[in-house]
Amino acid sequence: MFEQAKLLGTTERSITVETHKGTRITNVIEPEPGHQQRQFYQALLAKYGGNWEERKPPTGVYNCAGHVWASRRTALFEPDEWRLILDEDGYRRLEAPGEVAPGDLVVYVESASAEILHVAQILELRPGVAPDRPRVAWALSKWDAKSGEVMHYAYDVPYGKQGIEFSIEWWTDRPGSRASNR
Amino acid sequence: MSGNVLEMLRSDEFALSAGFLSTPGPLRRFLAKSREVAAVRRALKEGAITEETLRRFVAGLMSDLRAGERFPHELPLAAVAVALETRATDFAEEFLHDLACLRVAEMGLCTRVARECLKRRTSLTRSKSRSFERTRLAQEIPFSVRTSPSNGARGAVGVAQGTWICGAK
Repeated sequence: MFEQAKLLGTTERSITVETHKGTRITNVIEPEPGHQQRQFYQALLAKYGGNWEERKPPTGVYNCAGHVWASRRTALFEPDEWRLILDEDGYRRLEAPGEVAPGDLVVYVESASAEILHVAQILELRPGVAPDRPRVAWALSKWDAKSGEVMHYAYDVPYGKQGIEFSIEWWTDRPGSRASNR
Repeated sequence: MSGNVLEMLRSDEFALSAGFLSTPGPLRRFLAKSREVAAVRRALKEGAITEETLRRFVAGLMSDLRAGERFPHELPLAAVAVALETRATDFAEEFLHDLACLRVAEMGLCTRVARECLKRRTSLTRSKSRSFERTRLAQEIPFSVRTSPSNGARGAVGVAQGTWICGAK
């Protein structure tokens, strides 16, 4: 089966990506989306992204983790390795959303499996719905390896609409007091 | 009815429902809960479609594969993989192993899902689950060891300790 694909041989290409501690991270440089997939992306935006702002049109090469941890050079697909990066690159988990600052990461975790679904970078903290309300994190996401990059409120993600239960974690590389680590 | 079940996998509605899920674990779980995959499993079980129908469906999809272009039917193939995950037949085994062993960037998403299905399938076998649909007696331990690839250069050659191995010829 899949004779046509076998005839192509190995077309996967990767680069060296390592954590700060030197652990090698699996990666694949993804092909560019085709015309049909670029068109379909607009339907996805219409369904899930009514309040998103587009930064960049659909592109291949990298996904969310590749955006955040590999400088948009390649795609990282192993959520277990994403946890490893958080650990070995010295990130610390923030206790509350109020501690978040631009440059921090928002990590979406599937409740059923505790597996990371998505990671995005915080761009800024926007005013809340009222002057006395907390500010809201505004994030930059590359949803997958064929989507564009969009900016969105950190809570405005597709997973709830898809019936997927998830939780949100906030992570930073900023130094913290010893007491606040993990 | 039978054709519709497979055509549903190619529908925009199905693709929209999967959204941006692109890591293999969450996508596999999402597909496993989808009504489209459930319909394929049911149709296979009830004989509304045969494995030969599936083989032709897959061949039709594969005719759109082009070198250097992202394969446009990754989600339907991933869905078929999930539908076959618990099916103990030679066809299901061949499909999952052959797909999982590809190293083709154009089809990365569906191959990663197939690998996830194989992990799940292996763990189910090891836990001596009785839930497999045995449409015909394939092997006593259906997914344990394949000593020779079915075809091509990269067939699956073995399963051990919950992992599977793709060997070059």
